[in-house]
Amino acid sequence: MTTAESHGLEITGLTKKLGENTVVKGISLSVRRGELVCLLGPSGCGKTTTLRMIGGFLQPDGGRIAIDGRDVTELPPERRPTAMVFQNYALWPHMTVYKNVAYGLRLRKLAKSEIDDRVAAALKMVNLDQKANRHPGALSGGEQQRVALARAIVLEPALLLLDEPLSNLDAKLRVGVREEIREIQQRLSITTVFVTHDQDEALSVADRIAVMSSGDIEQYSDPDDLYRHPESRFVAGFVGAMNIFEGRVTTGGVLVGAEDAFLPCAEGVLSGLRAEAGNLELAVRLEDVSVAPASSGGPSGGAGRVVRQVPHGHFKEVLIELGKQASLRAYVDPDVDLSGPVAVTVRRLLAYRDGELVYSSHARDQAGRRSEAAAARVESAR
Amino acid sequence: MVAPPVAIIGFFVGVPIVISVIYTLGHVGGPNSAVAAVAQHQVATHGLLTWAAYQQVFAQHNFRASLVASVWVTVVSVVIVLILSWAIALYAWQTNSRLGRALSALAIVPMFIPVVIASYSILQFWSYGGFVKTIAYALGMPNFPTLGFSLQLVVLGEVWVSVPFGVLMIASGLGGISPSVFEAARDAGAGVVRATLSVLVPMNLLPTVIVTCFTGISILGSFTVPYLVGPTAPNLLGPEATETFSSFNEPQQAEVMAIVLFGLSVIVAVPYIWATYRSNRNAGVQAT
Repeated sequence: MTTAESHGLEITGLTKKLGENTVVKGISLSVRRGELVCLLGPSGCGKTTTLRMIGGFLQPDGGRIAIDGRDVTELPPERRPTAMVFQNYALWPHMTVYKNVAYGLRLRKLAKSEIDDRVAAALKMVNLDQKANRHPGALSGGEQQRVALARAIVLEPALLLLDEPLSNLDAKLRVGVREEIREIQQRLSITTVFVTHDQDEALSVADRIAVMSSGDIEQYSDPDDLYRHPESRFVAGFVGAMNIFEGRVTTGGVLVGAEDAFLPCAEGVLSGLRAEAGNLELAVRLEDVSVAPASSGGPSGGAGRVVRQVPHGHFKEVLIELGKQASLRAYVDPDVDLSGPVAVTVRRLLAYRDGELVYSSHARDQAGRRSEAAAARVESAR
Repeated sequence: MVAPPVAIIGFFVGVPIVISVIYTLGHVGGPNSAVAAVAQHQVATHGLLTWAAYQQVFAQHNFRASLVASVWVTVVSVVIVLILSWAIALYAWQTNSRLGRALSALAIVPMFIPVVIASYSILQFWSYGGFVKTIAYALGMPNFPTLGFSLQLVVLGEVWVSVPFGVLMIASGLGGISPSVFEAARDAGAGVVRATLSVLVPMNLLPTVIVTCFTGISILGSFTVPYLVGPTAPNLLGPEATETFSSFNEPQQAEVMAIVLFGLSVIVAVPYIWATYRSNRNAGVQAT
């Protein structure tokens, strides 16, 4: 249980209109001190607008923003205890790396020796202490990104804001830099809000993730909970790879597609769902689908045929046709021969009605993170 | 491939320049003999060359006063043009509001109005019998000052003529700067003025230098505005040289003034050359 005092950031009823369009719809969010929270969502969902309001670059039309318990809603950016890393880094090309990082400290009129020490420490932290006299134009994208990070952390902000900081980097560099960011954030214990549209990025760095859609927060959970228990159809489709299809519960499995193809479920998966529940949107993670050659003598399952295989190195993704109208994707061992008929079984399953979670075959952890609303919906579906 | 145009420019521009320069240095024969036959008060040398024409011109009080007036009008006008251009372009860039866009559009209007018409309009507005004086008189201020035929009115006219170019250049430069670099400065703790001076001005230095130099050179050598709205004397060197050439029939002295103007323009152009060199060098560094 957290108290208001322990919140590094508290947003209440934040609203923003741009023209006639309400891009942020009264969202509320609490970030604990030292926590890294990701705002995750597709383009246009309002995550960057929210971040810019936190940073003071946009004035909200309603709501309140408090940092370390202090209301900063009306303050301009220069008077907020925040530091932002921009998507395009926003380094000043006419200044050297040293001057970029020292800029904010000079504005605070610190002694030259203290500025030198703090800049050196910040550059060392991002492994750029040897490039202090270079201009940004002479640095690689990854190095520029690290200068932007050093420029932000050297100010020792109460709140660090990261606006899609890795989106301009190539895939391999992105993984390395995001790990560096996480490591530095944890070492300094800076409360951080990280905006991204990349679910892998969010799942790998965040303590908690707020999934946004159409200006609203769909779900605010830790990465594991978000992945395993997406509370809405939108989150289920947006976070991680997921099979989503319409189906009806029947004995031992579900009927899917226009031809009512039978998809068997493992024992206990449907124990909380009644056949009378009617048509539901069913969601199954790709790793929760068991696929085996039908002739292998393994566990019996629904009959299907693999129509496409996509190798991913240590596993492969397969597309299985269950009759003419239904298909399913799954992750399988790359060494298993699936050229013939296959047997398919579902090990875990989520069910949605009207876009909201009504059933989950696998219970949440003992901390009871499932929201009361979702729990109530599950109960009503049983 | 460039040889023909260079040769044409060399012949039609370079040769007359050389002839003029040696004329100001006392060479009255050869290509200068025709003009020398009718010119008054010219200096001729039968030796190599002489500075006597320059000494004669610089000894004239009128010329020295006009030289000072030219520099004064140029400096004041350029400063005002820079301030106005930056203010309008910055406002439009930062707010992207309807007012900002309207201001940017309005600032370009003088470009489409012929300078002669604009000069007479400015004169009619500010002269002794003009609009401002008439309104002031009607409001009971008969001694309200007028700017007609003054250097201040020349400044006003030059600003009118030069602001469109200034706004276009500064706005175009700002258009290439990501707003996030300004926001990053604000985020680091700089106020609007500090962020503008420490980030936007250096990043938009080349357009600013171009406006400064080109506007400066244009005003130094301007004729229409100072001739129509300025005082008889001292005035800018443009009208002064014209008067010396036409009314006094002293082409040699007029050409001396033109060469002095050229010298001043070269000085004004130095920052432009420096800024262009610096910009090209930085571009080279960034490309590596």
